[in-house]
Amino acid sequence: MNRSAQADQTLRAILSDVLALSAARTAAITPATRLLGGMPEFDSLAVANVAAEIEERFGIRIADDDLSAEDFGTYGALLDFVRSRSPA
Amino acid sequence: MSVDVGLCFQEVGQLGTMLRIGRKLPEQAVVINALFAEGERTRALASAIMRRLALRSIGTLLVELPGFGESPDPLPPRISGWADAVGKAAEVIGARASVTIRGGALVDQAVPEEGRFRFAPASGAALARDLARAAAVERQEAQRPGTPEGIAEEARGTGLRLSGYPVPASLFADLEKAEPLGAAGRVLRLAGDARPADARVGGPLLWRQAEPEEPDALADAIAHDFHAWRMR
Repeated sequence: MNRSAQADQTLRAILSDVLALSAARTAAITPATRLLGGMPEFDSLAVANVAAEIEERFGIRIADDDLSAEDFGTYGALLDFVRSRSPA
Repeated sequence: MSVDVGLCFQEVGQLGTMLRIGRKLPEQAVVINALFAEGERTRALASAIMRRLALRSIGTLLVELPGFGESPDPLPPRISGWADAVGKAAEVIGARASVTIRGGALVDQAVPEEGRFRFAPASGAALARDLARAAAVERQEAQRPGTPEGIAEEARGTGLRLSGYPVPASLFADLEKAEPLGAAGRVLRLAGDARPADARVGGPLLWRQAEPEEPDALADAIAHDFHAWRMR
């Protein structure tokens, strides 16, 4: 599996684990899926937990001002964010 | 069916009494729960693992780290305070193995490397970040200023109340630099986690759930894996 696909798989696993989503709901996530403001489970604590899991599982550091509402707006935006921060 | 595995409260020096199951069983292990708020969410998992290990003839003691759970002591000024508590507990019960949950892996040095079983080990830096982030969310909701980095700086400088715990500056600074030390005998992680591990099990991210799910299935998987590993 290439890095890009691995990032997608890992990020889906993070959302699934943190938000306790079913396998069906996790598989149904697309880049257009709205997260913050779109999913009831996605409150500010969820943002903190997802950010924490991203840092841990991707080994990246999310600086305070990296955490913008836009990055958490859709799954696609979050995936782009993670890919851009991951070591090449 | 009932099995008498003997639940008792073991006195460990000045550290108070600790929950112990199966004190007469031939193999003994210390169990080290996750730290801070994570530990509150995984305590049920810890005791569920202990019950299942007793049924597999492995006796355990749940280490009450100073500052958490039933410990009568405050948080220690240095992380070595926790490691020392683990050492004393292991000595009292003759434990040659340990089961740690998350940050418990940061303080299992007293146990021989080949006996260290680490479930979902976390770095101290990650846990310190979590504490700072949770505090930032709290402040945001109370409409007070504070960013995770700013809060971490405060904590490092003068100590701070984080997730309800009065964390001394020196302990926070230690935590930020802490990693699980040495090798582990075995590392187990959750299925969705691609970090290095000897094996993975399915289960909920209990330590991140505000109201943790019931831990039984995950405890089954962890106890099964630990037992199979020890018996190999």
